[in-house]
Amino acid sequence: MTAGLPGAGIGGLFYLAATITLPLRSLWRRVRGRSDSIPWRHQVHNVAMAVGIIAGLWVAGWLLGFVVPHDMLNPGIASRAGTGTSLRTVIPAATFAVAIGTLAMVLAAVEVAHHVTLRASAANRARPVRRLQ
Amino acid sequence: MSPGIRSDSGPSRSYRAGQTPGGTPHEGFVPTSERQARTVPVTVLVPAFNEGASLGDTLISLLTQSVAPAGILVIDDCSTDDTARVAERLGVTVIRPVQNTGSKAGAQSFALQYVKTPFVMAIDADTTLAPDAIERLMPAFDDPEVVAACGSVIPRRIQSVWERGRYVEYLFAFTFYKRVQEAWGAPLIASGCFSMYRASAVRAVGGWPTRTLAEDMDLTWTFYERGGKVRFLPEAVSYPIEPHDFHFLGKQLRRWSHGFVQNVRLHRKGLLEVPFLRHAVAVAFWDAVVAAAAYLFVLPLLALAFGNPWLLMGYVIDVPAVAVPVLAGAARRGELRRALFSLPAFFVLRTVNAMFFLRAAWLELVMKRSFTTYEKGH
Repeated sequence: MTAGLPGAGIGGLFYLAATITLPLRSLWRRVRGRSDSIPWRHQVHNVAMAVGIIAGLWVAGWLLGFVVPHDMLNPGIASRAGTGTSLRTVIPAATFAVAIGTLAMVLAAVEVAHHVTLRASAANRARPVRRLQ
Repeated sequence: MSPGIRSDSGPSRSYRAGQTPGGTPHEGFVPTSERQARTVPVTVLVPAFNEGASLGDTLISLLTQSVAPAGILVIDDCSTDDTARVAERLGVTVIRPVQNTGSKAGAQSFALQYVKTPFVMAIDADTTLAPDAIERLMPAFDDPEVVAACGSVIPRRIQSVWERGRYVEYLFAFTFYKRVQEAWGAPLIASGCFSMYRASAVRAVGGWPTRTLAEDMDLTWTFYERGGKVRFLPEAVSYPIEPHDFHFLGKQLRRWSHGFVQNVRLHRKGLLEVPFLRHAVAVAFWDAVVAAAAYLFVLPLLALAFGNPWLLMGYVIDVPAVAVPVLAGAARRGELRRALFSLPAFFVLRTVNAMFFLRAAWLELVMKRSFTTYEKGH
């Protein structure tokens, strides 16, 4: 079982971002003289997957634009967004912004918790954990 | 092999069935050849409670591996069927605790005292392996820091809507998510149905833990917290039997969903020290709880409130996000048509998954009613 909602939720965005940043991470490690054990073949595979997903989502959104009636939302919303604003732009843009914002919030919360824990550990001089052989 | 169950291309060592009258098809299997497979220092543990129907196939897939494990131990956890007899007929060592250990983790931990090899492998009694699965996992341990390694999982039977949904879910996870986790050095979990471990590392943490319902997740995250490395090698493939009806699916989902929440609660501080894993688990937990609530309740309420059924497109808007990795993985296996026909089943299973996760989070975290009964999923 894959915890969460595979494909939906912020998990999909997280893994897309994690995939796209992999080559950058790899390059950064090599520039710093550190080893990078991920073969380029695997990175190409992962990035190709991410590109395929993004392309597929774009095509699906484009096709939906022909299927979904233009009065899907209250016309008042479109007018408040400004004259000439296309509903086909507002809806996906808003959805994407909410998703990105949610992901950023979750990741930021984790980092804050991580740093708080680090400071608490340093302050309490935690006992060392027995390392694995 | 039972009808309707797939297998990979033939084993590298051939066996012939015995002709004992009235015996099972597995009775009297003996190696006939010719090529002796290289022995690897791995002891395979097969915990089994009333697994007589499926154990034979599992053991034959172990006995016909391209490399031979040094030992195979079936832990007969006080079964009331012919589990022990099936194993003994195939020449496999059977050990039996004094009383039922209560869980797979308990049975495996009981068997740890009999493991004399540097590596130990745990496999479910309803799981078969691709002929080279063990051989594919071994190289992971060339790195002395690696303490666990796991492979891909594909359902052995793909017929009912639940099996098809699980087939798509696994293809998605093992073609996309898990490969990204591996690239970042943190596969989320070494699956309990088929994983290999450094025996000393398992002993160092006291064996397979029984404090949650997902002992494989608990063990994996404990390894990370103690500085161990875990690897995912997609070429090592296993084939478990997945629940074919909702009754058994429900038992499995209840165990997995409660196990996930229990582990998040248990490891919430330790995981903060593990890069990437802390983000992946946080995102998964958010999706399991908040996104699941939105998926199940907010979306239909919005559609009702606005009187706009098009909002329900939210349930399938991400079809490409799922289809691309699934079809890519299926194409590599020559199973494109099967994957295409199984895709709709995934969205049904995903909705059911969301219900179970939400319920588990509510019971474990809000109502403080922890679910602790280990129930088999088939």
